[in-house]
Amino acid sequence: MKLSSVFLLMLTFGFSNAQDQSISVNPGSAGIGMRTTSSVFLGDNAAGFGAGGQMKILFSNRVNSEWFLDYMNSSAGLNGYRKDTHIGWSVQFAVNKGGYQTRMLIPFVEAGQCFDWTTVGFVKNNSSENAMPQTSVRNQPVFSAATQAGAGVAWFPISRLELNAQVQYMIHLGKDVHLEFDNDNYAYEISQSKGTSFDGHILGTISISWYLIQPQKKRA
Amino acid sequence: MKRILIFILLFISVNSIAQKKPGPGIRKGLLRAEGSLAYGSGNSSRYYLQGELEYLVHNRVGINGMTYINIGPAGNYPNSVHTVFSGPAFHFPMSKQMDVSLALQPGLSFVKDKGSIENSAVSEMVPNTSIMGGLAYYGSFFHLFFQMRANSAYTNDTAERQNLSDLRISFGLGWNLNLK
Repeated sequence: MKLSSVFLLMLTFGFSNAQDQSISVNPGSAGIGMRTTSSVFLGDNAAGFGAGGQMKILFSNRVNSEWFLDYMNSSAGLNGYRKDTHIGWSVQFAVNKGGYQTRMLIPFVEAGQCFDWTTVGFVKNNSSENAMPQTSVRNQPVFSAATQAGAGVAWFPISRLELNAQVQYMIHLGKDVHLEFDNDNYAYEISQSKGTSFDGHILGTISISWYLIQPQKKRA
Repeated sequence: MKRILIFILLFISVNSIAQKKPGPGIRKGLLRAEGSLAYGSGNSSRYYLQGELEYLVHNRVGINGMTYINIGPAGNYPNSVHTVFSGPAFHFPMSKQMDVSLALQPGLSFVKDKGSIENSAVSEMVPNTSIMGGLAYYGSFFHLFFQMRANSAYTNDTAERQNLSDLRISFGLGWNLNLK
């Protein structure tokens, strides 16, 4: 986290001389980028981070959209793990009056949906004396849909380049899969059930996007 | 004869590109590539064959991709950790020829080990998060570089969770070509 802060500070000072005065992005602009996401599961005792990418399409002055893919690897308890692949989209609504046409920080609220493939697993804690390889137990990937909402800030240090930080809460709908833990925080069973679980996860994302397509604004 | 003609044509085309915007340094349209050895210092030290390709879409922003092929040493667990990173890199030129670069890049590691009596077998794809810093000195077609990458990753599907985080260091000679 400290390193990320130093990185963002250096970017701020580094690009302060490079700013051109043109408006950041016009409606119809589209870009691609990379992202790092951290995840904390409230009901599964799991925390981790992931890597991914996103595509962005700006629909209007205040409405941006993000189409993302994340692959996340979380540790659960002392011997378990959870792997999530998210493919989805979020619509980001700029709260400030000028929307995305500013050089200032752009606060936004967002909501969206995604599809999720989840694998959970654990390594059986065999305490046999012959030290044979430990047995790994995992489920087949479980498919579910999810919905998420949150808030964040976007910043365009130069035209076409967007730096974005956001926090979201995601709830999984459909099948729920999680690990059962004993009192010592060791996973011993994979549990699967149908239905919505409000024990979702908190996602924090830092992303960088480059707008490849940037239509010129029509003059009145 | 054909080969000589092709060589002359290539030389002229490269030279004409170079003449349009003479002088070295980082700027929009620069294509740079590097290949070298990298050393990773972490829980277990590793050696990598490193490859990098970058194209500058702005005077200070490049689209960058890097590959690390784990080539040793043999005794590490997991035995094989190959990684790819991708994302924008930001450049802060200190002079016409000297450049400092920074990149916050996610990546993916492909981790494999057949296992042994003591260790469990593993075949896992692991996400990475990393910050890279670089220093380079540019000539017309070559540059000298020094890079450091702080990388965070771990693998779960093993008897004991393995921390793959490391600090990767590399230096060497790279190639660059101005395409605009």
